[in-house]
Amino acid sequence: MDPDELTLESAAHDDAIVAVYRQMFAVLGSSAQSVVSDPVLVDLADALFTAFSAAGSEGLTMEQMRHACRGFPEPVFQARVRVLRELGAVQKAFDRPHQDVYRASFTSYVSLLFIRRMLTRGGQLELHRLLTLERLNLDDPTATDEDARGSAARLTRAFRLIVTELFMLTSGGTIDVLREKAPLLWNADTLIGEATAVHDTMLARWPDLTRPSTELRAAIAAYRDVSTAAAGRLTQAVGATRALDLLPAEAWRTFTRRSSVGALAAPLAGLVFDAPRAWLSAGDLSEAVAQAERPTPQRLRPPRPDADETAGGPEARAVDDAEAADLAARAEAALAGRDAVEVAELVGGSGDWATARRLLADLTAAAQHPSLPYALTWGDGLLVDAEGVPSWRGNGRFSRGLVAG
Amino acid sequence: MTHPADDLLGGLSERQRDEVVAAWAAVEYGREPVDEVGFAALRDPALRETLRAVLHRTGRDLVRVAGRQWTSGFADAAREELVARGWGALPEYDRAVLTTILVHSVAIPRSEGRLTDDSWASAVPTTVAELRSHTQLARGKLNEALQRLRTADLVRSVRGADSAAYVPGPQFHRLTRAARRLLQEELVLAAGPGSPLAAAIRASRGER
Repeated sequence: MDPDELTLESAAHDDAIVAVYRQMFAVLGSSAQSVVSDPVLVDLADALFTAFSAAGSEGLTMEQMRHACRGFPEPVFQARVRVLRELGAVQKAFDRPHQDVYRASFTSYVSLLFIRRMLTRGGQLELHRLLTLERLNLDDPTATDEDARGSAARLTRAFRLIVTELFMLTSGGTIDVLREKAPLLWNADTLIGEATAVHDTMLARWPDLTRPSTELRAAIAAYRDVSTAAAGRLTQAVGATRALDLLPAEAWRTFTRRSSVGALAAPLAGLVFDAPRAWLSAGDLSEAVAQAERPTPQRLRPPRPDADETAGGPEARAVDDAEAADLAARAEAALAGRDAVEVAELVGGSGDWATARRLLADLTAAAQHPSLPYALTWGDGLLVDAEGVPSWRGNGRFSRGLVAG
Repeated sequence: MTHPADDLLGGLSERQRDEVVAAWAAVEYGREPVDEVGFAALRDPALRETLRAVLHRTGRDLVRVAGRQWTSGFADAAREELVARGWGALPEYDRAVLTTILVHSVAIPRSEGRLTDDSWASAVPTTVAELRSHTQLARGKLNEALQRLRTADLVRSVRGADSAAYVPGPQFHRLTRAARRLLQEELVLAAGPGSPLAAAIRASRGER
């Protein structure tokens, strides 16, 4: 392995891989040190087997083997070939002295294939295949009730072991370890379905095997419970987006590739986003806030003689009066003899938005005019009516106050 | 006319009212989440609660993004009511495009261990080629939908190697924690309905 690529993360990853190798060969190992400590060594074996399969019955000489593994350092290559020869994975084609042609063992290669598959799903795929095989066995017309008993016992054992592992992780393990073992949870439903099918076949054909079938049923039920509990613990611990990595990338790709538009749209159906508008950058906003004028305390004007207030002159007052009269006329028209009227009613009756807007402007102006006795008060709430024009109206009241003087 | 939150602001001093209104404008109108450093009403817990109450009057809520950044979004109750009435929802086709971008930019990189933050932001772009060739989305409408999503800040375009590419936009910061969780759960239910994760999600919803 290139030393430049060595990081803590890659070391942890390699450790995890080797841990799976160790687990798989634990039943065969003669000592704790008998398993490889670097996954690259398995890659090297893979390269060798590829070369052997290309060479066919000719076999490979040591030189040809070295050429096939030229990507690996020479000492690593030599040490590896020595171990493979000792374990019988690579053997001399003819057991004669001065014979330098080797062939690879079929069994070892199949075990390598098996290892690589175990690595991806933690053995769950193998359990699927085991189930399929057991089912074929049971469907075989020559199968005896002893075979069925054996099948049930093997499946029960496999399920009990997976349950124990998940249970320990769910109840006592750290969340990180649980995440690592998450592949054990993938496809749990299909696994349960297959196992139930095997169980049903068995019970239908050998109805008197009640005890093994009950045990198998209990093991399957326990697996269903513990996988849901483990997934539950994971989803609780992962925050608001982290559960996404508990599904394999392939499941996500299949989802986007195969789903219809409706199915793709469904996950976002429960969310509402802001309508498009002119968003501002945070910098601009901060700047605007910093430069905003601080309200200065209002200064009271010094008292002045009344005469000063008519500074506007007679023309200004005449204009003002004409405007007031005009506004009063419009306000009275809106009130139509009543003392007060709901704004929503007026606006709703206008029929189109342009008229309603004009009306609102008139009412507001009349209420604001200092010499007119009208008031416009707004309450809380909105009247919403999707069909009406306009479709929403404020809850307000326009009223005539006591006429002063 | 009075603002619906006038009574809340009435009890504050003039300076505090300024701070609350400034922070309110910043979280409501800022494109990206704002840093609390610049806004006293975001730093001070008491004022922050007032700001949250002001936002609540209009169906909004204060959303903490990462660490010391804040923005606003629809409050959960308001969101549920809007959805129940079918108001403000995106068109179906736009949602489908957005889901695809979320899966390619967030879910898959996460699954492959390339993203670790607990957020819907992502630096992994989804190319138009991916949207066009690996989905069942009708091609003719794709560009318009992307345009609409971009205007709404739901996606952000980034310069891809040779074609346009998109990542989820700043609007995703405006989702409350419950909304983010809902989105995650819905995606898991849609992509892996048979997984125990989906079973666990269904079970926990049943309990609620």
